[in-house]
Amino acid sequence: MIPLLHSELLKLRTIRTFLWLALVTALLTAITAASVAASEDSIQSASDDRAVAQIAGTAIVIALISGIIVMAGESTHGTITQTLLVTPIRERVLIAKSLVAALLGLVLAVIAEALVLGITVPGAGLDAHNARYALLGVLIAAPLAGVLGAGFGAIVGSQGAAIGISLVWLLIGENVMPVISHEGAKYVPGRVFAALASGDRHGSELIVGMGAGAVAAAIWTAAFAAAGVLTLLGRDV
Amino acid sequence: MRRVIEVVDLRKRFRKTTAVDGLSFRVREGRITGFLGPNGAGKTTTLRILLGLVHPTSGRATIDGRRYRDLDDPSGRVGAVLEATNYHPKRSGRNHLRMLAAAAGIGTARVDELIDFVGLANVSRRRVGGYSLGMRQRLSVAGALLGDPELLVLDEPANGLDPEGIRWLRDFLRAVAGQGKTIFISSHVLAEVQQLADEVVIIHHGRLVAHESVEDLRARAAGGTRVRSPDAARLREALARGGIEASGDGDRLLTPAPSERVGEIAAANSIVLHELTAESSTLEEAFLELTAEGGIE
Repeated sequence: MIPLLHSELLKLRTIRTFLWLALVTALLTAITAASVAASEDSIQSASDDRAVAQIAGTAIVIALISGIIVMAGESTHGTITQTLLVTPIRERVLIAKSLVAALLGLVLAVIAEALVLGITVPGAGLDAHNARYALLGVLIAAPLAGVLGAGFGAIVGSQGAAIGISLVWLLIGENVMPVISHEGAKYVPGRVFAALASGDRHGSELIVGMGAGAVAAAIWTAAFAAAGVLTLLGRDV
Repeated sequence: MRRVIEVVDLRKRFRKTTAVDGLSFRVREGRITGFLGPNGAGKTTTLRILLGLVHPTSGRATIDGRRYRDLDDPSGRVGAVLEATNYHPKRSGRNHLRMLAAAAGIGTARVDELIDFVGLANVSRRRVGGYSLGMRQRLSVAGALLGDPELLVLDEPANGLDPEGIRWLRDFLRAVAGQGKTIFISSHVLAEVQQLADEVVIIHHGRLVAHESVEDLRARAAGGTRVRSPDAARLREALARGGIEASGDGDRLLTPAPSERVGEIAAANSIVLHELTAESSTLEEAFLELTAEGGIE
């Protein structure tokens, strides 16, 4: 597994896509955090501290996209053939890619949180102690999103289609779900990841508490990873 | 001689299309075996099944008696160059090889050695998106050789190569064959296969049409004798008495019998011959004859 991980990390380092994704994460986070710092009295309570810390949650969405690219990018560019010739045990390939996607998610989360703290603690008086659960949630959610993205990328097999479907689901699908089932909508993937990153242990009308969110996010991640392995095993390349 | 590749009753259906239909053959160790067939005959599908990229509907294709995914060290056992191999256009050729080498636990020194060997040293740090088709084929060959494998599986390796590239490929394959390695090569450049291969497997519509040595195949496809004699009418009668049909006009006859038999009959009947030529055939002619509907028996 170590050589395979080494190879996957080389793939990340030898193209600029992931550098651009890190820059996008940093830029979006920095702009939002700077706008908070520029507003007067933007932080009034512990709840505000958590809300500001959630700006780092941008890393979760980018981690999802990164995970998709790590896996489906190989199918899109056709390099999956050579990857599977060197490592024909396909489940090992997906495990290695999932681990790398998780690491990437963690790096993105750390970058985002460093920027949020670096800008809003001095600029807006963010209380890091009050925000600690939200920050912890993002650190857990982003790697999980990376793994989920890798699994989803394996299922769809096309980088563009997988990213498109994910964004349409997050922007439209999840907002339609409450019409079908208000309580059930709390457990759709986007909302459980939001719950995990909320730092709120009790939840709200829209999302479950952080603990339940963590469990549900882990279950969704495991389900997508397992479905990804099964799809990859059965696919003709 | 050990059987390296074994394909047994292999079938593959893609929805309504049968790509491979009960195909069976074996490739022996240390031989160069050509894998021939018209476009759509099922060559690439067969090779992809052999390499674990495509799942067979039934039957099996094994290397050393094992499925590709069950090989202990796939890169060290098999090197594959597949048709239309793709690359990430933004990654350099060297980094592409480094990435494959890393997964196989092979060091960067081997990568640089192969870059020199395939003649890409000057462009190895350039993005593959700017490579010509020939450069990409050379890069594929380098990738296949990373683990110094004993078996090479090549799918149309001459595609996109210019004459210099084809000469390079021919020299390379001869050198590899000289080391006693096994080569299984699919190609539509039949003249190249004729020069290189010890034997050929020919398929058509996913089924085996022929599996024999190049020489036997050429002889079988040709088989006949061209003969010229000032006493052609008497020769024709003598051949007919021997159960051999002959056609032709004037002093020229053509018979399906081997030249030795025709010569013996002429000598026995004291018939003067001005020409006795065994009809030879190229691999291309044999191939076309075999893959024509209702080809030679």
